[in-house]
Amino acid sequence: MNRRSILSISAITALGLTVLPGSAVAQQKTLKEQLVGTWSLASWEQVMPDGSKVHNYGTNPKGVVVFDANGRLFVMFARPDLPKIASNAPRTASAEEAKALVAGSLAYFGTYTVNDADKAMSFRLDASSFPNQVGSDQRRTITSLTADELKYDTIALAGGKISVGLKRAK
Amino acid sequence: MNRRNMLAMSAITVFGLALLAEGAIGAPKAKIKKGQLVGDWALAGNNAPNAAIQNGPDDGYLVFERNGRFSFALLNAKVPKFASNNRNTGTADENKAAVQGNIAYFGTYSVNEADGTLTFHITRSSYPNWTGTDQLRLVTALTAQELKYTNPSASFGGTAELVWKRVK
Repeated sequence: MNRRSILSISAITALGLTVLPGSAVAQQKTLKEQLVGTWSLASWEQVMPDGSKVHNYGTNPKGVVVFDANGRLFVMFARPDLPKIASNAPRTASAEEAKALVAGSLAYFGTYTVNDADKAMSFRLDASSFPNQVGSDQRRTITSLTADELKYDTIALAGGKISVGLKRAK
Repeated sequence: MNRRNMLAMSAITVFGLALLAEGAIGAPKAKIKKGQLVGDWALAGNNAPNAAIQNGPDDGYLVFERNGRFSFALLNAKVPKFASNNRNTGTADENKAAVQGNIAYFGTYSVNEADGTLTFHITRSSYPNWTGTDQLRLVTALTAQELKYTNPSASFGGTAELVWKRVK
């Protein structure tokens, strides 16, 4: 083998090695590693048992989901048109205002775990603006996950299936 | 001064500054660096005389991200459950307690390091009157483990002091 051949073999080997780790890492990346970061709410739809569709946060919902690398979770969803409180104080919200705010927004935080085999996430809600959810473990099934988009389904507490679409926040 | 002494002096200075910050409750102008905030914080205590429902220590969570985003929630564990198990059909009292006991918002944050102030630029809030507003906070203490700030105009009126501990 002459010197030139050795050089080209080395070059090919080096190239091969640089390509290999990249693809190997991509293949080995767990779902959790792909989830970590901040996501913006893009869509939210509930299909009721009778087939009717409900958009609790309107058709242009606003919100954020944060998956921390340490396993912590933060979620907030809201309608874009929540009514302002006329008295400028939550304490003195009218019954109609309070009803609209409770129905049209949701926030919770806690921890999350991911099951790669089932493509499922489990959210543990340590606190929620909807008190009935506090302390619950909620399953989310991932239906689509790319670098920029995450979609998951969940069974609603009040019945029906909820589909959530998120886009990675830059 | 040899290297060891310099290290000891630095350690004493850092410790001293931490003590100073500890003692400066209620007094703004803690020296802060934006990078010190980055991470997750859990509510450790609060002093909010005008709040309708006092928050317990585990009722709050605050995330500062390196990219300038933040997320905040105070969700009161004392808010009663809804009898209907559906938040679209809460009673007037249930809805009222939920609105009084909970607030959440997210957006971006900025820091005035010299003034010791933190500003939340709120993209969206569960209290819609704050959506699109800037909310100033006076940082009174910031160490590796603890963040304290005063909200000079709390959503329930008056001031509120919140104490946060870093989450590992």
